Amino acid sequence: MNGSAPLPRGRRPRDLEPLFKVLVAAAIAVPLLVFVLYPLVHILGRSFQTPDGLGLANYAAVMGTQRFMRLVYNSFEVTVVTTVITVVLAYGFAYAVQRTCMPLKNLFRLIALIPLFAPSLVQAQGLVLMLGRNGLVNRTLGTDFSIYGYWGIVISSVLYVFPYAFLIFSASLALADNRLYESSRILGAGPLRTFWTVTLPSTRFALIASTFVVFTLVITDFGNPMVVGGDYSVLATEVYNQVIGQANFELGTVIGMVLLAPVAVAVAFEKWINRRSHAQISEGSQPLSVRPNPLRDRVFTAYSALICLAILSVVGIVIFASFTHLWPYRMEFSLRHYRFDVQGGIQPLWNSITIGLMAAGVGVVAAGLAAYVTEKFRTVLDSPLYFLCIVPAAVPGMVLGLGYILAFNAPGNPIYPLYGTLFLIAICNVYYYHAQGFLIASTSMKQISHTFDEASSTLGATFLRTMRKVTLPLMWPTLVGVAVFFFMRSMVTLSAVIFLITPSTQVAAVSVLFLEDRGAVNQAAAFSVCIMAVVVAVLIVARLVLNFFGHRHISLIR
Amino acid sequence: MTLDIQNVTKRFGELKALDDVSISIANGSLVCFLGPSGCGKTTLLRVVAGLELHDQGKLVLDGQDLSLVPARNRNFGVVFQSYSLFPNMTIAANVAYGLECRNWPRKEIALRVEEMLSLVHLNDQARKYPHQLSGGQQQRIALARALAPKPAVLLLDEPLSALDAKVREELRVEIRMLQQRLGITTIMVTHDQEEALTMADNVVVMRDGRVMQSGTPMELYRRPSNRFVAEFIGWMNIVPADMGLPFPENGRPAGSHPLVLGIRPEDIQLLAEQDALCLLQATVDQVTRLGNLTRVRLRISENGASSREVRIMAEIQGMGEGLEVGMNRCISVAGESVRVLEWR
Amino acid sequence: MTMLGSFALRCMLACAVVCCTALGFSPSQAHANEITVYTSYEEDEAAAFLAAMQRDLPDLRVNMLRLSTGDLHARMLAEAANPRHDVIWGWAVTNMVDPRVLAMLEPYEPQGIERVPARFRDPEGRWFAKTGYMAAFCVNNEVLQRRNLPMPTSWADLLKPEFQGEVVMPNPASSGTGYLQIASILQMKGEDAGWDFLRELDRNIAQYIKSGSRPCNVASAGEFAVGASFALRAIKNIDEGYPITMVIPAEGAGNELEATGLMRSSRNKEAAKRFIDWTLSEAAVEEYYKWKEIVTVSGGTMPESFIKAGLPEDIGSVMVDMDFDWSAANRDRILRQWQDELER
Repeated sequence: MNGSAPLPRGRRPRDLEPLFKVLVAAAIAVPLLVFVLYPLVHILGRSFQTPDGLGLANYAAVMGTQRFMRLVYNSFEVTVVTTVITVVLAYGFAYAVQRTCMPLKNLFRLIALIPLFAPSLVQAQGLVLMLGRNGLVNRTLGTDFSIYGYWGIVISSVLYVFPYAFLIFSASLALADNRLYESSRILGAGPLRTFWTVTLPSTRFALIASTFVVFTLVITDFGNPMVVGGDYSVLATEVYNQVIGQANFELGTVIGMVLLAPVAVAVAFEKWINRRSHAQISEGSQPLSVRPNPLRDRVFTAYSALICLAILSVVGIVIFASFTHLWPYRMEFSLRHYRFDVQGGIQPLWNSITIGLMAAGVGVVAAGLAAYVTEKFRTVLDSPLYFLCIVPAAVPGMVLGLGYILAFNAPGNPIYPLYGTLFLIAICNVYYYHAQGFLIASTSMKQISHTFDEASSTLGATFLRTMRKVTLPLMWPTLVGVAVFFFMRSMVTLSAVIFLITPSTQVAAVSVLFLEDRGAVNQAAAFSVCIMAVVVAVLIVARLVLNFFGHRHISLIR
Repeated sequence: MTLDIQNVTKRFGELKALDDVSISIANGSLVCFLGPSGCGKTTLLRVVAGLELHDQGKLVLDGQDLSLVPARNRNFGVVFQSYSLFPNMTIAANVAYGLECRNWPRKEIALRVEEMLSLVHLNDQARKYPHQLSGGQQQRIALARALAPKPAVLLLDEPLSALDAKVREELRVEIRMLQQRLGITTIMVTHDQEEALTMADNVVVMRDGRVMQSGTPMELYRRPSNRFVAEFIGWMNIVPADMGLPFPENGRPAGSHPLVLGIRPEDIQLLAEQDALCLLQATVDQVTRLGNLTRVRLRISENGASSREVRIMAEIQGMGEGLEVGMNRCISVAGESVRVLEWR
Repeated sequence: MTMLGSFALRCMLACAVVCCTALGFSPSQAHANEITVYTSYEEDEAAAFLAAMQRDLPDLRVNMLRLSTGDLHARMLAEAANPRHDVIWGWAVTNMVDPRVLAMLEPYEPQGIERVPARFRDPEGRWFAKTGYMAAFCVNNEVLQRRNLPMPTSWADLLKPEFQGEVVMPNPASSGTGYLQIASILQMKGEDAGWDFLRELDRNIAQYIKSGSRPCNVASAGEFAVGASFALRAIKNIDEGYPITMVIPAEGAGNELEATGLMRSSRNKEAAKRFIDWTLSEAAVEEYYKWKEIVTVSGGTMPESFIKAGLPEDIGSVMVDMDFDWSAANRDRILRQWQDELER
């Protein structure tokens, strides 16, 4: 190679931009390190603490028992079965919404999302009111079955994670290259065959992503197993047993760490698979046109209606119960449960709204920037940053909450001034849900063609100008969606927050828990209804804002 | 502006996307990078644009090494296959974008936008948004946007392939006229040989990250140096070198590659069986009459060694009266029309 | 559309502003007359006590956080490096005697401590208990009738085969109430007989629920006939209107005391001490009698509703004389054995 001057390795154009990009990427990583990894390290340290100094004794104590193996087995049994059921049901539902000519699609879609903005207790509560031994079904039919235990957990978990899986499938099924379907039809493939050979393969990454999301959500969830699990113990409830029941942090954190393992594997696997993915849609793709097919449309309408009915009845019965005098004994209408006599009355709801707004603001910036940097910057930090962004999905909320206390409740710590404020709770929510928010942002960023950036930079724009003039204007409807997501989750989340509230920072979801705990079930339902009302109101406002700016077609919740 | 691409190599992991590529592009000329998909032509364009960084080699523009200059400072105009107009800006704002990046004064920007839009005959569309325009119009705007900041070099990445045939032909002419009028050095990437031959001053044929041959369209057509170029540009009959056809000794290229002979269909003469000029006996397999032109496919039953069958396509003027399938014909070809090709 | 761009920009700015103002929130500064109290008293009790306190000490500002016993325990241990509160008020003695908690307490003898019998105080003065709660069954009348079951009156009644699958109990590994129930059985019957009894009882247990009040709540909701819980929960649920009967087990009711202590780390000990002094005042004791089934300080009378719900006026006659030190010291061992043998 005569005359060719090899570029020295690692040398980049004489330009500060690449350096700047690396610095920005590093700066994005800092809060993740501080608010995710640092508390986790504290918790991890706790799991090695034994009376005789550091050691593996706690791990030996937990893992050496018969019981532990049973918990692991139980956790996996519930999680795997829930994941399979959810993925199948949600795929069918998303298919109905995106690929059939079913009527009332938007309504169906909205109903499917309801579990996202109801406090997680509502599902379990509704399920008991509906299917409990003294539930509506047993009372009216005179039957006597019990949902407590394995199937109770599976059913309530399916309800809980259904919207997450649905959203992923829906986004994926919305994209399709009509040409593929036309050629398949022309080649004589029947609808089933087309489904197996074209539709399913083109959504395999959504399948993997939703399996991952559902799996991590279910295996770390303890709310549903607590209420409808009966005696069926899983790893997540064991963390609760150890930490809350027996004030045994060390063993609790060991189990927290054990929980982290399969989730970390799932994260790594998802990342590995995604690296193999490439854009399904090329420049020449034509959008799919769905033709009416009366039989198929009717079947899917019936199917979707059934699912919506299930979701609605569970939430609806809770709302209904909140307006009765005393469910199920005195069913006359009453507003008495809306006079809240919980600590601080309705104040926690305002706190939650404040936290939600802060979390929305911080979350949009954090998740949005992280997605932007990992998608567009292409620096050496991409992979570690991606991992950091995703890893919160693996952390059970209770573990994160305790980690926050251990890490930040120290006067020397620079974060200490935030301790005990609504803002720290907001931050905790942002990082607890960081993975999901990040995935929403980066998925839609992927849909914005790279060539816009390239066109901009060849026209002489710095990347800051590109971001300001091109990327952000294209992104903002999605960012509104991300903000709404963080707001919604902040309004209803419980597990991490319960360790961070103080006398002056009570939150609504905890009030629901307190009310539920002290037997004021109907009042708890009433409080839940207020929370849902706030979330729905915010959704409507956000929708109106988007419509006003002409983004009628953008779905708010993704 | 003369652009010299010197020994540029680019790897994507194991794959060598560009392998020691050297091309010189003369001031004001239009050069086409032509090749099948995956040949590295787009990668080369992206390296020139600064969107990819090459591993080895140099990019020299009028004596200045560009290798380390980032895309935004190269002052190259790029037009993408997918138009890539910013959907959130009006047509006028799109065209003005590059000028704003260069901090032109407001007044001059307005004038220049006006000028560029009239250049592509779309003045009346200035207030519209990209999605309100047709594909052809969008690509014109993309061209105007790329040209507005007076770029040193214009880079076109398959600019026409997303458009339908009629629009494509119109734009072909329009782009070429514009390019010649402005005298701007231009590189265009395409996989369409017709596009390359009709528009380019010079064509660079690429395969597997390497330059197979470059030259004017005429040179490439008349004097391909290897089988790949011969077959990629137009149609060429490829026959083994030992079949008894004459070929000029001086046309033998250097190198150790096995040789074959290439003959354009229009250079073949079909004679009666007993003609004195007869070089090879052949049987007519198929006759396709196109009016002013007749394509004849022939099978040479080799008078000798092996059972190899060689098929040849000939084009003769007129309706080819008297030619029937199954006839025996004699093939003749002038020695200077036979091209010695490298087998690669 | 540039308007859109600037809108997005403004959104970002707004977010930044929200963040900044939020940063302005800082934890409430320790004022001279301000203290933080952690308690596990039920919501409504705590509110009533606090209101009474405010009448007597209007200048004292008390920030109160109410969490369940277990939540509070985890929270205090996590915060041990830098406790956020000045006083623990009304919190299970079994948890209070955890050495890790005791280490955080400062001995303090409030005015009027002599009114609390010695057996309800720490010999070293770190805590004293003025109230308590005791185990009780919540029995759903409707379910009883529907399933034709007799009204149970003792733990032994629950062994009857007709109660199979109709009894729910708190899981002692996650609930303090659950632990006090099995601890009382083990203390009353002796360990060997006690474990035999628990094993037998296990056959009828539908679920071990992970909280202490939930068994009563699900029995109230009619999900199960009998929920082993604590007396106050039953009284409150009767008040709420649920068709349940409170049953104090004839063998004697296991009970738990609620203790109060001063934090060594308190930054405002004067105010904290004033508060603790108040908790032993006449007004406070009067208030306790309105809400609690067990008050260790003599001087008040039990409210009507308690008696109506079925609580004997002489509470001492139905209470098991619990050995709290034994309960605390053997907790790990008993829970391990329980989990090995009985947890499902």
